[in-house]
Amino acid sequence: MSDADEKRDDSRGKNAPSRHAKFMRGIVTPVLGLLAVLFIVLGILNQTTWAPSTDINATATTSGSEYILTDPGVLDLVDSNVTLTVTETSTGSTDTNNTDANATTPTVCIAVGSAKDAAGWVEGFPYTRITGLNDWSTLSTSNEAAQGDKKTSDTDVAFADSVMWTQHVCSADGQNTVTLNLTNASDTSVAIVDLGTDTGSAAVTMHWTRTNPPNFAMPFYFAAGLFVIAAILAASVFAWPPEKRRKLVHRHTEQEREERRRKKKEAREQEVSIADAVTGTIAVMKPKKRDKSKPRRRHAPGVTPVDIDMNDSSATAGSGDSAPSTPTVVDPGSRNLVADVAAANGSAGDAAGADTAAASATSTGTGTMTAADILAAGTAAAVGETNTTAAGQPADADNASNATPASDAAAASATTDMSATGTLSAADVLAAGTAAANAGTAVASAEEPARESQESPITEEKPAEAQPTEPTTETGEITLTGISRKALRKRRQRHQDADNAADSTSNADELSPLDGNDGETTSVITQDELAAYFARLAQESQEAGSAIEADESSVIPTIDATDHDSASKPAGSGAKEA
Amino acid sequence: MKKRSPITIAVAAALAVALGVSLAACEGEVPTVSSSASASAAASPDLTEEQEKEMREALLKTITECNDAKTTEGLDTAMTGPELQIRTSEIEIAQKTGNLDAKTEIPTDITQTVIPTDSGWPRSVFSITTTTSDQQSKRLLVFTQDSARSNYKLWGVARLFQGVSLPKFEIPSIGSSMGTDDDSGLVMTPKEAVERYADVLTNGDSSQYAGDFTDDYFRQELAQLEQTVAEAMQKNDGTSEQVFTADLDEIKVMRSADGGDLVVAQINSVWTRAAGSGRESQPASDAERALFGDGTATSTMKVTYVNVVALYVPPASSGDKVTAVGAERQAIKVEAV
Repeated sequence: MSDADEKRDDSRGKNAPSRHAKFMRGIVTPVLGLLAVLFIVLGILNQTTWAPSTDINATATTSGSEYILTDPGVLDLVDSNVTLTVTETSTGSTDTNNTDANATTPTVCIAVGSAKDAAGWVEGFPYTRITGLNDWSTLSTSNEAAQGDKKTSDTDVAFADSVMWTQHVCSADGQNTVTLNLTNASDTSVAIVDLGTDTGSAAVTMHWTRTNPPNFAMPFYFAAGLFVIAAILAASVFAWPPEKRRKLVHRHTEQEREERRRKKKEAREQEVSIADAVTGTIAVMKPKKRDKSKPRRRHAPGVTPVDIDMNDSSATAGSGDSAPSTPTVVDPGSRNLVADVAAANGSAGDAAGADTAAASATSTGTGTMTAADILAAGTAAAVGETNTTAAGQPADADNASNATPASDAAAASATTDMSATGTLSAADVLAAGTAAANAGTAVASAEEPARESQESPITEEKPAEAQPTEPTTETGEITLTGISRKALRKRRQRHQDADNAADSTSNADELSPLDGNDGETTSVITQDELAAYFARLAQESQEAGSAIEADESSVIPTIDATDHDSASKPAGSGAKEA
Repeated sequence: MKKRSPITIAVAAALAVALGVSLAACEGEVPTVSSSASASAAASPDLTEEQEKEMREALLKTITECNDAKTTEGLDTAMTGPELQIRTSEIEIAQKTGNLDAKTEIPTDITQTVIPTDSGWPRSVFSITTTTSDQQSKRLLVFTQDSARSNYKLWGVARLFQGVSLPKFEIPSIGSSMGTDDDSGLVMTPKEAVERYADVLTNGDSSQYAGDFTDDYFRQELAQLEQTVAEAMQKNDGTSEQVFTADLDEIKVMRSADGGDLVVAQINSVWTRAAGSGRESQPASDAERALFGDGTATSTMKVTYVNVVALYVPPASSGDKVTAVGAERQAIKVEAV
């Protein structure tokens, strides 16, 4: 059953054994087990009944020669312990002179000596060679003709008296059989038998006792062991469904994949879409109009978030002095967003779009403040939402209450957000700037990163947000000088108060760009970021009071109010550009 | 795991069982004789040390019995060659004198034995005994087995000279090889060595081969003896002459480890003493007298001696002289001519 089939087979219960398992456990395992038992039985049989016998008896009959010689190597053919028995079977004797009964029985002698000695003894006589084993019960023999000449003389010694033999035994009187036992046969010694009569015919028996018989049981036991292992495997591992087996192997990899997927998801949330990045870049490239009378600072030492109270026209009116000589650089690390939000709440009045922005801003909840988060927070503040999230403190959307003036809140919250995160990225600044300019746009853009909890109860604010987002950076007309120095100062002041109230531990001291600190820069912002920021500020001031615009027409960014449609997304995108 | 049809499983099981059964009935493979066994027996010693000892002791026992019985009956089962002649004579003398010569003593212990590896016959075994109990010199015993169907017999005994060193031989477990009387690579062949030595014995320093041989005790003794007898004879206007002839049939050669040969050979000598006219030539020694027995002395007496000499012929590369290391001398016949 293939894995696909198994998956489709929903007829069985989820925990019932699969057909594969049933087959393995029900058929294959018993078969293997039976084979194992069979081989064990065979092994036992080979060890007992069928065991190779340790006693080997091989016989041969010879005739026609008085002497029988074994070849070198025959004596220890099976074992070094050998017993040689020779029985003389010829009847009668040619010796007619001797009527002694004993004489009719020739003396049979067996001797053990070296091959050359035995060969010398039988020189000139025909003899029979025992050459080896035909099978386990028969010796192979060969009749040899006489070699050389007889060198016998009267002074010859008897066979048994020759000093050449290392061992010899002769049959007793009247006996025609003799047995020689050799316990340390070597392959150089031979046995020579003298039958005593040259018409001799004899039966020769060689008996060995095997001390190392072959072991046929071991292979069977070994095979039985293998079958047992196979049966166990068939019942266990091979009965598992393939996925489980695979999971065993790939479980670790599966975990890794999960991990990777999760990480990818997080990374994606931090990414800015291409469209947003492009618009932001383009917006930055638009020419900026500055107030030439004001000293221009490339990098402000630090920017303190300044609450821009849109409704407080009086406050902002006063800040009609043309664009501040130094841009307000926001150091998110020096701000306590919660305190700022609380402070902003007091002056906030416009809740339009605030909730949504706040909700979206707070929705990330990851503890890491992305640019979009800041943007969202900023816009939330801009539209009146004051419950921007401090770093790591996702505020509940419900907390969004009084909306601060769009510009003020946006700028403030944006800056607070940035201060909260402690990292001022280009996106952050841009977000702040554009959020200020486009109160509502940030909300829409914030919605993208703020994926996780889009449960903004204030979706109805969106239409309203569109308006504030009109003035976008898309047009590229951002001016750093569009914000009155006074407005900025006020913003900064409010933030500072909030900071002090909240006992911020961040380095707020460094953030006072409007004070003319030109030496202490806690964070370096690029020109583009500043441009975006001030574009936002400009927008805020524009929104807050047209009076300001009137006063500072020359320096106010000429943001085309007619560009409504292109407001939200590009601005948001531009704000989000990292 | 692949699905196996029941038929496949059954067939596999049946095959396994069949294999097991067929194997189970066997005793195993029948062993065959390895051919290397026959090839390795080539260069082994003909006798083990135990066998040599057994043989020597058995022989000496027989000899001693004959000595004690002062009979030569059965002596030929234990002796052969020159030693048989010598010992026969010695026993005959002992029968006459009642005492066996002291030089007939053969110690039973040996200091060294040289065992051949030859697979043919005759084979000779050289054994060197210890000194005797009365501090006589060591004896060089030469045993020989003439054929496969005969046993070893004592062929020659030579008393080794004092202060002479024998060449080195292989240990008995390895065995030495016998030489022939025509061995080359030596300063002279063994046959030549024996012949020349006989010439030197005959002629003394005036022999042309005198320079080939180192001076030795035997020659000195002989020379002295001859001189004494010759002077005595000359006083009586007699002559004395001893001629040594090598018996080339009785020569045993054993190759030493350094490339030389130890040659033991029989040299017969006839000593002719002719007294002056009208005088009788009498036996010159107790042995001769015993052998002569009741014979009638004439003016010429011929005494036949059997000498057994042991020569060491060095290899040609050494450039040394042939050295006599031992000798034995026994009169075997005394006759008045």
